[in-house]
Amino acid sequence: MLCSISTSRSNSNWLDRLHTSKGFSIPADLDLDHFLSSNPNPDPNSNSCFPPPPPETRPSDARRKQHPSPPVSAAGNQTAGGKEQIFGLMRSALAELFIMGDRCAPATLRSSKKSARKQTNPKACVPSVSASIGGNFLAGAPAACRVTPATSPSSAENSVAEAKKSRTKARRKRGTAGSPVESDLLTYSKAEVTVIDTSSPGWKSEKLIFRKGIVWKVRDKKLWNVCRKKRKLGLVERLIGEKEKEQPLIDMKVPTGKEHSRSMDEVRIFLTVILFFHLHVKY
Amino acid sequence: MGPTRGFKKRKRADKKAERCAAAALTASGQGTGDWWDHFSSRITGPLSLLKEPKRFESVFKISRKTFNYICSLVREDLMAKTSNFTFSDGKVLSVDDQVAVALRRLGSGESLLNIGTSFGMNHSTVSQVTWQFVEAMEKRGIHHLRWPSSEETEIIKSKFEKIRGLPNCCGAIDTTHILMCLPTVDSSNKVWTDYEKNHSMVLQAIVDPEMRFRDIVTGWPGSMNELLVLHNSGFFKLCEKGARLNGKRMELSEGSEVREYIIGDASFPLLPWLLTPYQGKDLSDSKVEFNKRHSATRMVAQRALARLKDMWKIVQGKMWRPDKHRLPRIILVCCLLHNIVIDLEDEVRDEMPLSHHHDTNYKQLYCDVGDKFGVERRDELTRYLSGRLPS
Repeated sequence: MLCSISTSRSNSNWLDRLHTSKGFSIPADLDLDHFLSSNPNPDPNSNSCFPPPPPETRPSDARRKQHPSPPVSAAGNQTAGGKEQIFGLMRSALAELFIMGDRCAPATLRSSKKSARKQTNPKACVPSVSASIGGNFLAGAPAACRVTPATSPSSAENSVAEAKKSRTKARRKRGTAGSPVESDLLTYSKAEVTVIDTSSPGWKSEKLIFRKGIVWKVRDKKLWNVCRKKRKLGLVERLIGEKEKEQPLIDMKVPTGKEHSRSMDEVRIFLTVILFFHLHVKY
Repeated sequence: MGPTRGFKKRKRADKKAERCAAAALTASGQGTGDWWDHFSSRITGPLSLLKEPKRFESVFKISRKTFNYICSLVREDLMAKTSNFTFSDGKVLSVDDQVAVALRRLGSGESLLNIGTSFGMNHSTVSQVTWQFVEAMEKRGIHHLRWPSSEETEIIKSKFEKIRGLPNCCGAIDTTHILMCLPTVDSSNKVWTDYEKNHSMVLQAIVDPEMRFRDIVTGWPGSMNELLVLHNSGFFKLCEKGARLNGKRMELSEGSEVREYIIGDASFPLLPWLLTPYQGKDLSDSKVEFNKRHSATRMVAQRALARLKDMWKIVQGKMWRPDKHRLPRIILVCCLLHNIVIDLEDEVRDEMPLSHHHDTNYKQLYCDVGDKFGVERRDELTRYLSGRLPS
């Protein structure tokens, strides 16, 4: 996705291109930059220029709440207030996807010479990742249930700086997700092992071992079983089926699904708002 | 270095018809004469210098009856595989041939190259055949390793009691190390370094009085001690939940009874369902007596592990940089084969010497973890064994 904030020129280009590729026509009198550079309905309670959504509000929820309102404004003869409402919708949808930069210092932003090909400040989707890791971790190693309040998933969701930090650490660990609980394990040496246990359902499982001195943390690596099942390697299929039922595999799968659905929701809400905007302008 | 992909493809295409015909002939059992006569004639190299190279048992350490049973277990799976393995002369390996090669590899622990030379085939064929056999065995032979039913448990208890009088004992637990040769420069291998500075994988086994494995846990790195391995095992969780060792209690005297339990050495924690020997010096006579009985009964686990390593030498020697994800499965199959030999009452086990040294050069570890109820149970049992419980 193109950077939509660095220059006004790139803004229009980016949206133009998007609309052209999707077959949308944009009236010439419509100032698309307005969506990105101004805030028709500023939130007086917020200190930040572009406040992130509340931690509990997922994009899908936002979609449910926000979607009914546009038809009301659409019916309202395109008043200035209605337009501003649409602007607000559009910009909140964009803000869901990107960090929109410092609105308070637009001059600084616009002074940048060259527009980056990609979004310079993509928004980190930390919470769902941390939820999956944390959930799984807690299920796998009761001893490692130390989750400090400062590093709760919701706080991570609100803090971009923290998210960036986690992501940097995660990169260092070759792709491990940057959850706070996970980052706690970065000081541990990690090993992946295949364990055969004839008293466990499924008999065979893959574990992640984290070790620091005499402290051990063991975590299930359940996705492996799914792959294995697909590849039809190893133990009796019915036993693997049993394992899927009895082990908290769902714990791992559900957050992963949420993560996926969240990103899909984000795209969906974005497209919905654009489509609505398009229809609204057209009629 | 192996042949290139293209070469393999061409080779396959050239011999496809020939192989299919040979495989069909083998599958239908239309080959003439006994399989072993043909197979033994192929043996060359060091294996042919054996005292009795023509004797089946001297090559495979199991009887022909057991061999045939193992073949019957895996036949369907091995025949279902599309890959046709061949000897160097182009002859397709039958199921019996494949089982023989795999059993020799697991039983002797010799290198792939040596086995390939002995049977006249490429070492990569030996590797692939062995792995297919391992996969088929863990699928088809898994019923040979399971926790006993309540009826079987009663028999096991009485057999344990016959050894040295321990009542209501259901098994003996022990741990051994499967040694590996890993590069020390790689820091990720540190976790595999055990307390004797060897790279190893842990095998924890619970054994019945006939030295049959009833529960195993393997795959954990050597640096994990017995307590950790036990704590992370499914058996531990089941026992703590009361879902295992929850059978009939035995009345020792009026108002005193003992629940089902297993026994283990001092490296294990003392728990209500896992009794360990008394530790320390200056023990009372009754405690010394308990320890003696405990040790004699526990011997079955040590012997079982020693026999496992002696019979299936692939888990005895230092494996050269093994795949750590495959090794536990190889260990499992060796345990299955060990149990099959017992289940089929193979005569070869009578010829094997009884040793109890499975972890030579490993010092005895001591675990200080002791559950209050475990202490009470052990004391009660000690009093019973010394005849001090009121009748």
